[in-house]
Amino acid sequence: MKKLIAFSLAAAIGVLSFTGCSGQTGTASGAGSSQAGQEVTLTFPCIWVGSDSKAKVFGEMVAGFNTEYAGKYQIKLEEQTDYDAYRDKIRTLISTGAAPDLFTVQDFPDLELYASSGKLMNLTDFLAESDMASRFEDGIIERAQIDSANYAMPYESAVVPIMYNQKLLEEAGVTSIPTTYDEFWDACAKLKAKNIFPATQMTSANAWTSMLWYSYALAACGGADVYKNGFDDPAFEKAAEIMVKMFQNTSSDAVGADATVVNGHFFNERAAIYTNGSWILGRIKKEGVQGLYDNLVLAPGLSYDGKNGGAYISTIQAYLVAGKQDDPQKAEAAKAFLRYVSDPERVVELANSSGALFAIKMDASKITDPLQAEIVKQSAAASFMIGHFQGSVPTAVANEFPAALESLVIGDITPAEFVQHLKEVKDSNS
Amino acid sequence: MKITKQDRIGIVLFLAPALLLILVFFIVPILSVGVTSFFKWNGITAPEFSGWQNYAKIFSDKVFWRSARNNLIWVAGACLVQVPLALIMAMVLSTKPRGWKIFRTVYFLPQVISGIAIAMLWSAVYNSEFGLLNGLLKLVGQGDSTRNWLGDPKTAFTCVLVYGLFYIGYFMVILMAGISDIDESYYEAATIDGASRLQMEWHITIPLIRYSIMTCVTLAAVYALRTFEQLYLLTNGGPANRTSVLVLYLYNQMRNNNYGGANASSMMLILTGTLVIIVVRRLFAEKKR
Repeated sequence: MKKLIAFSLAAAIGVLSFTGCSGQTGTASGAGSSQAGQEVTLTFPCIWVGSDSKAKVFGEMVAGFNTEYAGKYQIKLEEQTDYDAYRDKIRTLISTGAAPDLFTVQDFPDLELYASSGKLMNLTDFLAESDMASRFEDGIIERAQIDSANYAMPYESAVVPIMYNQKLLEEAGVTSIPTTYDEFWDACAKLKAKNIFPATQMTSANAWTSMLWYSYALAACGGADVYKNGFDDPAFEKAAEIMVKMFQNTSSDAVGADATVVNGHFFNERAAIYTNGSWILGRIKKEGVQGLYDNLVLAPGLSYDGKNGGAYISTIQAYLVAGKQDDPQKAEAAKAFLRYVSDPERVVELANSSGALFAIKMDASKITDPLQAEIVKQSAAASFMIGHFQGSVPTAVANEFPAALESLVIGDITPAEFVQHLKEVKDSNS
Repeated sequence: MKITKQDRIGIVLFLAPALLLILVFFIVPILSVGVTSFFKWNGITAPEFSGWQNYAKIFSDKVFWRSARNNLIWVAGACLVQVPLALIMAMVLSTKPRGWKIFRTVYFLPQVISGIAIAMLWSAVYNSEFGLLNGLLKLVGQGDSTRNWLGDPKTAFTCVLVYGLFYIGYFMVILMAGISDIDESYYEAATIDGASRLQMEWHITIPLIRYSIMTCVTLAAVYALRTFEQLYLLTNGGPANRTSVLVLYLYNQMRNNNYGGANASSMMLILTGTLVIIVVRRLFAEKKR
């Protein structure tokens, strides 16, 4: 019997060794090398599909590229609608040595991690070419560099205003848009008195909108350099104190709420104040109660102790990345695609259709949506621009933020302990 | 009976596919998890050997211990509440009262509904603003008792536990199958001897289906240790990790690109699972004696 088992195991290992020996070359995962004259096909696992606000026009852009380069280059979209699943897929592909030909990355910390694999195409020279370099907002290319090299093309940018429902504010007797936190708390008190949730908050998933509120609080308390100063900057604790107060001025379901809950409150005029990226404007128009869009007033960040008011949160929301290629034709195809989709005229069309904004310079007069144009105008006049918390800290800290925020607002920990905890997470994962 | 050479070849041929699958999808991954739990690894760059560091880190993490404790409470709940409830229902329905087939279907129905849909349903039940539970409390004049059930640290874990334990259909069907195998003559003899229904269930049904019960308890314990999707969807471990369990804990380690830590947590989960199964089997083995 022992011989039997030994034989079975040996046979199994033998088969396993065959199945496990499909070695990866360490370059992108599309079809094999192309021969001269043959059409090059690039795979692009894409999140801008389905009900995504960019899906329609981005899909048309891909179709347009395929038509323009018919017989030479083809882009094959692989649809993925879930952001977390998309991130998992990309990470898994890269870790197995099979980076997709093209893909998107949401956060700079993720980009740094993927770049460390050596599986991403170096785009530094490509982005430095004069026709490409001139397309981007000033300084964006440099800010996307890792060790002086670009492994991604900055594409969608997140410009985040604070949105006020003017109708609800007036109902509550708030006559002017708050510019300081003191004015903000006064407005909250008046809204609460009218049984209107003042601001929307959430802690589920990545606590997105609350993370944005914390980012605005950090900007107000610490100014433009708050992230450079790190967690020792007292602004982090002061901003945490603001968040405690924020959760006293929100709906009762805020702890544990996700984006659906938060959007539901604002879109249905149960809450008066909200913050999110410009891309949400399209959904507000489509899903909000009648008249909501017309009642919106946008504003930049509040000031704290008379300082740092008028800031705007802006960060790169999506980088377009190409997998490293051994085949020069495939590398050229990837660059041709990046050049095509970053064409300013096409980007304006994408911005107009989706409500999103981009790292590519656009003629503001061509933006048809008045609120989107207002965001561009206000952000250009902002006292300073600052990234959001999630994109400015290591992934582990950003992931820990929702649970830490919950501990803070339910009173498990003090604002000082909240900051200390995030600092410890950062240190233990560095 | 003597096993011939041909028999041996036959046995090997029959066993090989299963052995291969077990090896590829079970043994190799476990070995891989075990080995990488001793490495610092972000899933992208080359792993660095770090000895027991990953284990030291998770053992010093309060969230790990809270997750482990929650898991054990879940296991206890599954074994001591869910399975007994299923047993009671199986014994009642096995007497074939009027409408028993409808009840059997109703109890089993949640097993064929997507876990995501059920989680969404319960999320709506527990919602503090528009939820059914708070609505009912207000209706019966208990408005002061309304709360954010899943966001309140005092109630969140109980709420998800209750939701989890509510689904007894699967175990009920296993136990009903066990009961249906019991020869009617035992009950007839007991009836002649004047035994009550309760006495018959206690002295005939339960002893004769003890292996079905053991199967249910083992499965319930394993499912409880593997609990993930309902928690992920309902609370994502919150508020403040109050409802976290080991699988969620290791998932979060992976999200932090800490695959070494995630694999160390996996090893602890495997160890806990093995211990729980040993304990369950021992308990039932003693009953056998």
